[in-house]
Order: sequence, then C-alpha cells, then structure tokens
Amino acid sequence: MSQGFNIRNSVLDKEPGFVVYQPYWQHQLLAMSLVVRTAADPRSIAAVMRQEIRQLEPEMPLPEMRTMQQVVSESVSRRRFQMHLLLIFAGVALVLAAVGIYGVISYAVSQRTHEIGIRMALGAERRDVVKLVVGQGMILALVGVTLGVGAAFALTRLMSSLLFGVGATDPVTFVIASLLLVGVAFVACYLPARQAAKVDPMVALRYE
Amino acid sequence: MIQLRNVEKYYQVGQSRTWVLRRINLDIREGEFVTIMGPSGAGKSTLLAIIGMLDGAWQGEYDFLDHAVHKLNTKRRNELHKQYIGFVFQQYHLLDHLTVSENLDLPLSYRDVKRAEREAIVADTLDRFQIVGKKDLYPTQLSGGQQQLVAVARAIIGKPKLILADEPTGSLHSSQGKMIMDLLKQLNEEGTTIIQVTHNENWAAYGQRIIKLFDGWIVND
Repeated sequence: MSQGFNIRNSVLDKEPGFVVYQPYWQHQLLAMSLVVRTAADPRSIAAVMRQEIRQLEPEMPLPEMRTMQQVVSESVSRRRFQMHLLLIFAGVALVLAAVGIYGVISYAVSQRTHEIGIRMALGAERRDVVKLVVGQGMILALVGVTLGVGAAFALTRLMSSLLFGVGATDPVTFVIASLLLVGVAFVACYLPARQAAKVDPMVALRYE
Repeated sequence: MIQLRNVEKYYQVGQSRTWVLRRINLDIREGEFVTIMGPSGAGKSTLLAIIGMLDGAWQGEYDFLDHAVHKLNTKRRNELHKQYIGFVFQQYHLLDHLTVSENLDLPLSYRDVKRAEREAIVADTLDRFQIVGKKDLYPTQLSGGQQQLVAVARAIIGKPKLILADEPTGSLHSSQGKMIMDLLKQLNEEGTTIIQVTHNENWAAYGQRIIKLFDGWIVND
C-alpha cells in the first residue's frame, strides 16, 4: 500500500488517494494495461512493441496502443469541451459588454453634444473632452467590474468542479480578467470620446 | 486689439458657395463697447464666433493682441481664446446639472488654477454679482434674468480682456435686459472690451460704436 505518490490512474480532477499494488496472479483483472516508458517519441516504438508482444505471446490479440498524452487528453476531453464552451460564451459576453459600453457612451455623448459645445466655448480643449467622457465611462465600468468580481467570487463554487490546476478564487485570474474588462471598457469609451472631441462648438451650441 | 483684414467665410453647398461673410475689414481698440447689428442671416453670430476663435474655417487675416490668429493652429488658437475671451449667449448656456457655483467654476477648471484659488475666485464673483444666496441652486431654479446674470459672471470669471455677447438680452424681460446691459456697461467702464450682437436699438445704444451687417457685408460702421 502506498500513500503520498501523485498517482491519478482514472481521472485527473480527483486528488490522489491510497494505492495498493498486488501481484497479478493473486488478483486477476479482466482488463489490464501495459505501460511502457520511453525516452524517445512513444509512437516510434509502437512497431517494436507489437513485435515483442507477438514473440512472447503469438496467440494474443494485439491491443490498441495509445500514447500517455492521448490517454490524458481523452480523459479530460469532456472538461476541455466544457471549458471551450465557457471560453466562447465568455468571449461573446466580452464582445457584448464592449458593444454595450460603446453604445451607451455613444448615446450619452450624442445627448451631451450641446454640453460639450458649451464646455469648449468656455475653454475646454479636446483632451479635456476626452478626459470627461472617458472618465465618466470608466467610473461606470469600474463599478460594473467591482460588482462583477463580487458576483464571481460568490458563484465560483459552482464551477470549481470544472477547474483543474487553478483555484476557484485564484487572485491572478481575477486580476487578469478585471484588467481585461477595464481595458476593453477603456477602448469602448475612448472611441466615442474621440468623436466627441471633434464636435464643432458652434454647431453644438445651436444643437438643443 | 482686433484687426480683421479681408475676412471671408463661405459654406460649400454642392458645386456652389454660400457666402456668410464678405471682405470684412474691422479694427476694434481695447476698451471699446461695440454693437453689431443686422437682420437674421447677416453673419453677426458667425463674425462673433470668428473673433472669439470658436470658428477656425475662414479666409483672410486676423490679428488679436499682436497674435496673428490666421497663422495659429487650433491648439494655440484655443489657448488664446481661453486666456483672453469670455462668451455670453442668448440662451445662457448654463449646464443644468451643475449648481451656480459649479457653473462659475467651469471656465476656471480649464485653466491652470489651483482648486483653493478657484474656490476663492468663485466666492468673490458670487459676492460681486450678489448671488451668494443662489450658489447651490441649479439653473432651472433661477429666473431668466438670474440665469443670464450667472452667465455673465461665468464669462468674466477668468478675467477676459474681451467679452463677446451674442444677443445677451434676447430671451429676457426688458427690466432684466436693462440689468444685464448695465452690467456689461459697468464691465466696459472697468476696462473690458465688449462686442455685443443685438437686434434691439435701445441695447445697441449702450455701445460707443454700431457696426451694421447685411448679407455678410459691413454696410455701416
């Protein structure tokens, strides 16, 4: 019996437990696998392995041969598919968030054309207008990201079973995701802000 | 202070040009109170916008306090406008979501003035215009005359050398209009150059000089 070895012989998302090694003749299983470790590319030794097995037991049907990489990959294929789906949904959500912020800020800017004209007539320069629009947009974005991070903390338990090798409240992941969202929000605010800065104050002052 | 030489402006409409101002030659000295009159579409507001450097798309030469405005880029023109010029509009153009104090602070916030100094200047201006009691009110809580009073206060808060007033009494009752015109007169007597646009003969008489525009031409000076 062994404990403490990092052995996952069925699935990867379960913590290694106790392992009991028994002689084959003492406890025969219907199915078994032969694992061969090689320094070379495992696929290159497949033919040699088949030949060796035939020499030892010519009557035995040759089993399927797979590299350990394939075995691991197949064992996580379902999780990988789920994660790919989540990634796609997250990507779509990010694009929708960017389009949403862009739309809201563009609408807000169009509603504030007159105000921007007044500000420019009172001495605001283009950078002041960009700062105003981006600043107000980013306040909304930061409030949204803060609420989102809070909600994510609360909901991560639901998806902890899908994660492997990373904690459900991994700070690095949270920081990177937050920065990504803030970056996307900045771009979505900056584009309408740049348009706002091109407002002709004389036209804007007539616009009410 | 202001020298315009052959200033012209037009709008391109398809293949043809619609002229708004034609060969404007004008000299305005520091300390003058000038009235610009003319019918609608004569080019009065456009001329004011060019003098106020809000409009940069015109031909000709414009010298303002030894600065050749026609040679300046937009940024430099904006700096000049910010430093020397204050605007008063017919529709007041106060920002409704800001209080009276915040509206007064706006022009200062676009200049390199520290917050504490800005607060002191705003307090002095509120006191000078006797609107201290209104400082926390929003423009919609004020009468038209009071709003224009705040707009004039906002125009002079940056200590401009030139005030451009585009029909400052156009939306006001006559008694409120007189109050604003008296105020402009007082500012002029204190040394500020004032150029106003008006349709009203009585308010025009506050100026020492009346310039009449018609179809973009100066027809009388």
